[in-house]
Amino acid sequence: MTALLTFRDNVKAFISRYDYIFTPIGKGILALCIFFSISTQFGYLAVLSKGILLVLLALICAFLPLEIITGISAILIVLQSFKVSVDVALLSFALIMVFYCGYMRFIPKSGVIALLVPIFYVCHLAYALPVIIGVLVGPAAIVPMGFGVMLYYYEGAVADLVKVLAAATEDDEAVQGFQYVLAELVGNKEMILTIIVFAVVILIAYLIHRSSFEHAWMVSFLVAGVLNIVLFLVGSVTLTIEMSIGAILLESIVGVLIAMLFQFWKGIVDYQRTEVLQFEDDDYYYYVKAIPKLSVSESNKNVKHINSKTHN
Amino acid sequence: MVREENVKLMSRIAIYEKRKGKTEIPMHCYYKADYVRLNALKTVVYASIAFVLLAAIIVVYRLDDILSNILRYDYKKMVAGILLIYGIWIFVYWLIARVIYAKKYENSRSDIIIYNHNLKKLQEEAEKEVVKAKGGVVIDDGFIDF
Repeated sequence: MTALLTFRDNVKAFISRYDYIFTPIGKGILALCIFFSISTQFGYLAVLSKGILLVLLALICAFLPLEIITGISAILIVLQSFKVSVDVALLSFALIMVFYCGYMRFIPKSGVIALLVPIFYVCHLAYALPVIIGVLVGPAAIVPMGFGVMLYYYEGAVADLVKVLAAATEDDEAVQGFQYVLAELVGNKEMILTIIVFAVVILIAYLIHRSSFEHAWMVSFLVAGVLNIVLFLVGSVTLTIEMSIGAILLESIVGVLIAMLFQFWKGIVDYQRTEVLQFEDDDYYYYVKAIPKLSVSESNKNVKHINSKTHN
Repeated sequence: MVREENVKLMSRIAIYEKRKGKTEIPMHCYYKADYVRLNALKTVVYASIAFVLLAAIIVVYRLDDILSNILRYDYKKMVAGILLIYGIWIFVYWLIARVIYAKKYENSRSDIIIYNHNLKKLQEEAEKEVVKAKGGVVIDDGFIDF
């Protein structure tokens, strides 16, 4: 344990020392992942899906605020949708604007969470998300997470529309892209179940994580993981949705492990040295519970050996 | 001559201006009530845009239904219903905006106090320098220079 803590503290110190290098690199990689995910799912315009362009955009985003990534991603999605049809592009624009005006204005960084959801789906880690986000961000992530899930299924609906449009002949009745995509979204029980389960798991994980009882953090991960599995199973049986039980189980367990890793990174505590204090002032009584953080103080001393030479 | 204390003060001021200060300094150009009201008003505008867009999406999605029943609707009831939903929507947003922006203002208060204190200290140091440059003697508070 001591070796692990020492390793963590050293890595943290190294990163904070070279913060000016790691921050842009991190932002650049994040932007690149998001742009590639958009071009994979919405890759209808060849010009906007070129690797060099995406790398260039990510490079620009590396040195700009995080919100710019969301802005550029929104523009990319709308432009890609134009290739499918004008009404789908308008729908994309309207949905993004609803999210921006209704939520993102309050918490500008929340846009990135929404864009990360499709990436987790592609990496087969979608069911791990509520456990991780519930502990890391809290209830503020419920709306962006919901929008992210919708974005993923929206991509699927647009892809279906493209297939329908390609298969349609001149004699067929004209397909209204706008209505087709919306009908797919509204009728998608899996999407609605996912949004509800994610919201519940995030809320419960956050509430337990904030509690003051012993080992609350660990309990929050485990409860969130179990709740995630149970709710998805119950939901899929009740609504008769075909969902991969193996994926739900495995991804939830991975989610719990990732959450534990994040917690270790943030800091763990030593419950054995818990101090319970009580004091008062003119207005209040205070009942304080102080739990020391586990850390290793690396002795960073320069020992200078001074050898006194005796001259004979 | 480089004065270490001044350099420290200037660094602290510059770091604050570069990070949190970007949003917090303009925020404190207003009184709390004005700041909260202004932002609540902005939120109402944005919430209205979101409402109109959502309504437009629903209307276009159900356009076939609407067109086939266009003569059967009770328009008085419909308008009253839409206005009621709009009212609730705006009220909820207005309430949330008031809570969020009041909290934001309060949270930034301690930072801006330290920033103003540092600025004042720096100004005092600069004034002392000017007096010294003119050949005068600086008398600090509580200290009499004979």
